[in-house]
Amino acid sequence: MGTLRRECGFVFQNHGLFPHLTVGENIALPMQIAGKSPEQIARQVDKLLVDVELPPQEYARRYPDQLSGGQAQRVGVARALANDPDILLMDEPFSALDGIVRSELQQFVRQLLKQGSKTIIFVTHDLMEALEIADQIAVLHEGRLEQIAPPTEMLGNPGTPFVESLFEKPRRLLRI
Amino acid sequence: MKSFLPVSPHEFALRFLEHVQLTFCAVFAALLIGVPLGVWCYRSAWAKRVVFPFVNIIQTIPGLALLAFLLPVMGIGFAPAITALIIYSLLPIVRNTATGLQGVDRQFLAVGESLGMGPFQILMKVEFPLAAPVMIAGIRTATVWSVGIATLSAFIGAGGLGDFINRGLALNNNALLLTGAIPAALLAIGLDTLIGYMEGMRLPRLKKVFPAVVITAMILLVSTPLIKRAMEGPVFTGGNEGPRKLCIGTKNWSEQLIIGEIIAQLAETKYGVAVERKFGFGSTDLIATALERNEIDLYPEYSGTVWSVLLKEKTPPASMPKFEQIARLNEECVDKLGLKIISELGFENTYALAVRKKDAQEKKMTTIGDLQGPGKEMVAGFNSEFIGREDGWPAVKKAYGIVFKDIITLDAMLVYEALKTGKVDVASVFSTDGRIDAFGFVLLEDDRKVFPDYSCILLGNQRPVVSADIINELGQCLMGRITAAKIRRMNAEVDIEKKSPAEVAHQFLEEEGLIPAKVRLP
Repeated sequence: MGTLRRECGFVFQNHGLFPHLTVGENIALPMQIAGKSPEQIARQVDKLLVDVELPPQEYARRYPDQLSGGQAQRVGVARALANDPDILLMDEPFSALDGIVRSELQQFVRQLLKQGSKTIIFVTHDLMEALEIADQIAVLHEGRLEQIAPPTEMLGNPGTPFVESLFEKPRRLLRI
Repeated sequence: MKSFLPVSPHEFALRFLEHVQLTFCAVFAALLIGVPLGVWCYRSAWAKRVVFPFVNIIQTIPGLALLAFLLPVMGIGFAPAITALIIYSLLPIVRNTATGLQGVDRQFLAVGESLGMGPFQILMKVEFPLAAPVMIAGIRTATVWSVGIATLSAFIGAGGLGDFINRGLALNNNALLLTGAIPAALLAIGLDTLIGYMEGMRLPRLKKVFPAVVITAMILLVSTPLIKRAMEGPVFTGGNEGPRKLCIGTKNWSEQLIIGEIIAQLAETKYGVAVERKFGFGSTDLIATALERNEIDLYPEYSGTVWSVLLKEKTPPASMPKFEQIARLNEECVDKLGLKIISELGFENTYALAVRKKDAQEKKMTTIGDLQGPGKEMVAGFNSEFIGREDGWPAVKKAYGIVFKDIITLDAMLVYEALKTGKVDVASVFSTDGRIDAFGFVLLEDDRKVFPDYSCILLGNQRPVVSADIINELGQCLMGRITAAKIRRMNAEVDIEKKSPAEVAHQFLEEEGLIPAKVRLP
């Protein structure tokens, strides 16, 4: 279980950064647990911060309560990527953020996907977000898997009545 | 040059350090025990159900009672005092550790788990740091309580600022009392503010100052005993080598301290014996246990107290000749307590009825029986113990058949003032109180022998750990020397004229020719 956890990066709804650790320390933590060397960790922290567009020299020493919601969530993503996991599990990561910050971060996730090396499992209640980001959408309803399909199929060829009713509104919006 | 302190700066610093040391050691040890207990309570509902009520009950035990409870096991001095303080400090530390951990946002535990942290890593790296403010609040409470309760340690000879408070109370000396009470209060307020400041810090800042605080605390913990030893060094040279010193104990009031000083100075000056003064014990049980355990070698006691408190027997009838009473008491002490009477000093400190000298002359009163007629127009002021005790007012009433106009219940210390100012006309007093002469009172003779004998004796252990010869010599030397009039005068000098017991004792020994007169410099 421990190994599986380490192969899998988690991003939480409310960033889940530890308030008593700096941005740098938060990102370093999973690597320390994985037993990496301090130099390796320092290099990786800087690289990850650059990747999430937070200049290390400015942000590494800040504490989570000194960040905006969007910045904190970027750090959350950086921490999830720290051990370079194959799978990234994002549990409603942007639901607490406002529109502009949110679309910025969605773009960031899409870029990450384009690099092609990671599987991202992205949990969301926002259908537009799902349609925009995903290669494949899985609809879960009352503990049952309704359908797995690419976005276009989800819209054009719903497999169950529930999926059809679920995507009715996006369908209408996208056709207009 | 006269210092504004009623004690030497050296002694003040020593007592202050002792106090700090007691507090710090106690809180530190309570942390070592309390934090794991708190974690256990947090993890296990069962532990919480057992530990919480236990630490709560401990909190309700009065300080002095807890010390008395520890005494048979641990004796007197630093060890039982620190144990009592640790026990008291446990509650806030255990409770706040458990509450603080409970208050940590569950989300962070999930995050920790998701990062692959084990339970111990989560505890150390996530739960403790996040629970820190609540845990610090517990340490703060424990520290402030400890500073306060540490003042009680003086009752069992562990020193600290309580020593001044104890002596101040004993000698009715407010300056001395405040020398202990004010610094203790300031210490409590200071530590409260300091720890409160830490408690209010934001977590990142707290994390930064934390190592410095821990290092400072450790330095204090280690250095206070060293400083203390260094300070004690030159005072008692070579204190730790060679045979044990003669330890003289007393309880905590003027008369006891004066007699303690008389014995101590006599031993030092006449017999050249090194003496340790363990003065100011808080109760008869405490000091008697210390004597039974050979932690002190002798102390002044009163025959009636030995009967009632230590032997838990009825006092022999007051009509029995005194020498016979003392002989019987000695037998009982040897048989049942392993203690013996070393000397009888020559005075009694018992209840007596006092009237103003003017009234005594006008109404021709010399004995208690003389109150029979005039009593009807007199108001009596008695303390509650005197009214309640079988051998107090009930016995007097029965034996002498006196009726008073009214009887007012007053505190034992207030009756003197009440009699002086005419609020009452006859009062229950202690027969050796200095105020009897100073306020111009006359004691009425107990010619029908109602009041039990409270002769002042020196009690010692049957198997002393220091030379029995010296102890016997001291006892012989003082046998019958201290009359009621002499002890009353000395009590007055200490209580009213505010002389120190040591000074008064020295003067007595000079006058009695027991030590050579001091050469006074012009």
